[in-house]
Amino acid sequence: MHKIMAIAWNMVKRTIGSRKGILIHILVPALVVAGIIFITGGMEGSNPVLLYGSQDTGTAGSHLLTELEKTGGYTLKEAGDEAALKEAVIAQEGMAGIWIPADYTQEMLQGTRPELSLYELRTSEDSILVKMNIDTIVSEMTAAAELIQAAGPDGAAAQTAQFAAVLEQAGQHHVGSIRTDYDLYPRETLGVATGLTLMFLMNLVSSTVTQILRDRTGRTMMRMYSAPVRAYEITLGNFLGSCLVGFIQIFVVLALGKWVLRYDYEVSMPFYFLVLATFMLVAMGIAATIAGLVRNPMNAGMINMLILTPTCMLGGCFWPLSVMPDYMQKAANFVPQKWAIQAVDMASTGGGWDVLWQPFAVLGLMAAILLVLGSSVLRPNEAGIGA
Amino acid sequence: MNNIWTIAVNELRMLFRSRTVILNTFLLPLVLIFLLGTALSGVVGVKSDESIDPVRVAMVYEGGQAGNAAMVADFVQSPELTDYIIPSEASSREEAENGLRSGKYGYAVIVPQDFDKNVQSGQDAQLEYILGKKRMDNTVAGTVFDNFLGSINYRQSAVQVLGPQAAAAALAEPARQETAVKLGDLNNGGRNYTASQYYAASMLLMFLLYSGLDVSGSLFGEKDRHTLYRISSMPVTGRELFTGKMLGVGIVTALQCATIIILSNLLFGVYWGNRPWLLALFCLLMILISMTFSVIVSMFCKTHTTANTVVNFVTVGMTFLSGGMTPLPDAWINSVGSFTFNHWALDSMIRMMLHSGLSQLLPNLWVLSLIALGLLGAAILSYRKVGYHA
Repeated sequence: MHKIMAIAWNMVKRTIGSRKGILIHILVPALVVAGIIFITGGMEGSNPVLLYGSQDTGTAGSHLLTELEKTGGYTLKEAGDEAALKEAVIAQEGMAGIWIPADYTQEMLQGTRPELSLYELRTSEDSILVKMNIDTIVSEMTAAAELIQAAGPDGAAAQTAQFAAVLEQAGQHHVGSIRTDYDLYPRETLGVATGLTLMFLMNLVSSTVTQILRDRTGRTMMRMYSAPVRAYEITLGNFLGSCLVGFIQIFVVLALGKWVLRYDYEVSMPFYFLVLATFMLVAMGIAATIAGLVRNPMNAGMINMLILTPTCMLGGCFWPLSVMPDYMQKAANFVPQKWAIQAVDMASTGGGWDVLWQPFAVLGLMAAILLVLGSSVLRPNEAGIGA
Repeated sequence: MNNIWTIAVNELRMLFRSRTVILNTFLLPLVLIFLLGTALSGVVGVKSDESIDPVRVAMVYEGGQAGNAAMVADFVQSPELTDYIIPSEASSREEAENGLRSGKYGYAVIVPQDFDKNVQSGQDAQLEYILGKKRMDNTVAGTVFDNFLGSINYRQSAVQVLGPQAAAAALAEPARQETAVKLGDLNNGGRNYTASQYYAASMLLMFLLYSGLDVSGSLFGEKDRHTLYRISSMPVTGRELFTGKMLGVGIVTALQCATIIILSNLLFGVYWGNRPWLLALFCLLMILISMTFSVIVSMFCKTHTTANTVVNFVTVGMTFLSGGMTPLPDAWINSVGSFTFNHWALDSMIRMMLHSGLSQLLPNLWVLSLIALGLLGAAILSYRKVGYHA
């Protein structure tokens, strides 16, 4: 047993034993993750800016804008004429811009269903929501306009006046709703914060696997095998050492986020730690499997990147899975990041172990398979440098 | 000059011989552009209807009887809503709140006693929503009830303004949900702009910055393999060796850049704008920036791992802060974002895709040139000071 511990301890010492090791493997990544959490956490409070421009002289355009502002989801900002609006959207002064054409009200009253233009530089959850809100408000206004045509007075001027009166009346919201919010649901940014933490964790984990690879390239592993230790002791020792380094990394990242930046993870710290630790085993498995396939330590690091970024995107580290098309959501099931994020999500909505077993089972299975595949890294005789 | 060329060609040969380098430089960016393009191109609809789980909604009728609020009671029982909500009556507000906390209900709606009467007489009538534990459920149930209240609100207003004869007409014609918004064309007379172009540009820039890893790999690889000693014994000056290496990496990066642009155009139809020469100039500036930056880092870092870590974090950090990975708040992009290399190049690439005028591109060009010049100076200085020895 003490031989296993010796190997494990040696691993820890070599990776984070020196001042520089602590700086590279612990402090810098922890600061980066904490910084990202801080930024995404700060996004929650701020309303996205919605730019607008209008040439409509009637009441429909201004009614639409006031109703949008009343939803409380956006800060509206006027951007002048259509060219200026486009320019402002390109310069990213707001998340999207809406343009209300001239004679919007008149056309609506004549029943021709005029269209608004929405300008966006890229699709986001917010811009999809804006579209849905506008659709709802406009369909109500259209219905009111049709009513006036059917049951209102004749003559354009009279109809316009009636329309304005209806909209004004509706704007007072005599029939409406009050939202009582006990903050039972998880915050929007929790998924992204978890996702980015996972991404950096995957990056970090490869550092210990590189360490093992270097042993192989430098023929140190061959010497190890000639010492009076058994193969399983070497395997377990390396595994334990890697785990230990990983746990320390996770702990520092979490501690910094929780107690220094005071980020609210919405789940208990031990649980979050457990999720990250399970995920780390999978990440280690991935890194080890790659290392088993590729001989050169430097190339192994690069291949790791080749796998890391696409799987993070697919697994929902950067945006919620629900915005992706269906077939991509299904593909996400094969990616470990998805399950880790789902576990945190389930726990933060109060799910117990009766549902939580599923993501953990998937992660556990992935870890087991990959680690067995990856244990071939420890074969000492393949020290090739080429490839 | 001959020596420089030999070293550059050797560098190219070594890079192209490695399969991983080929995969990383040429395949990965295209995969990422494809993923970003398809994942985020679904502009319409957050979720298709069949994938929505119906929400269990607790209905609390104050005053005990659902009969007093027949309007709401009828609405929640209507058959077209069964895909979205499952209403169930709760006896009191407390019961509903407890149900929300335990997860029995996903949403709760409290109907005041004289809701119907107030609507008909044109007085204030308000439902109270209590939000549940799941974000998606809150959105779905909230939308269902908001649409219901919205149509009552407009109908009530119409009746008040137009008189009771409008009420009959209103009931005959239910409001239709149609799309009232068209995606505007940001273009100034070029081809259609799509959101995937944004990510294509941001990914290209990220990979140009990543090419810094090739620089540090090339510089440290020679040391790690102990081949720098051998080269020192050859009739090659240090400056020739260094220039040759940079030339080799530079050629690979330029090739990478051209491949990404051409293949993304052919495969995914990404349109890169109307000024190919200016685009090439911006790309060259970015390559220069990323290489000189990496040289400075490699000069001051002792080991390969340290240099790689620094380059990696700067690349990911700058791409993130310039809004290239996940949407950031607007305030960040134009304040903190402007301290990144990516911001200036990304902005001008998008403007070129949108056929903006030259005058809008020039400021970005000057800023990037200044950054490149500064870094080049710093790289030369640090090479003079530290040098490249075994």
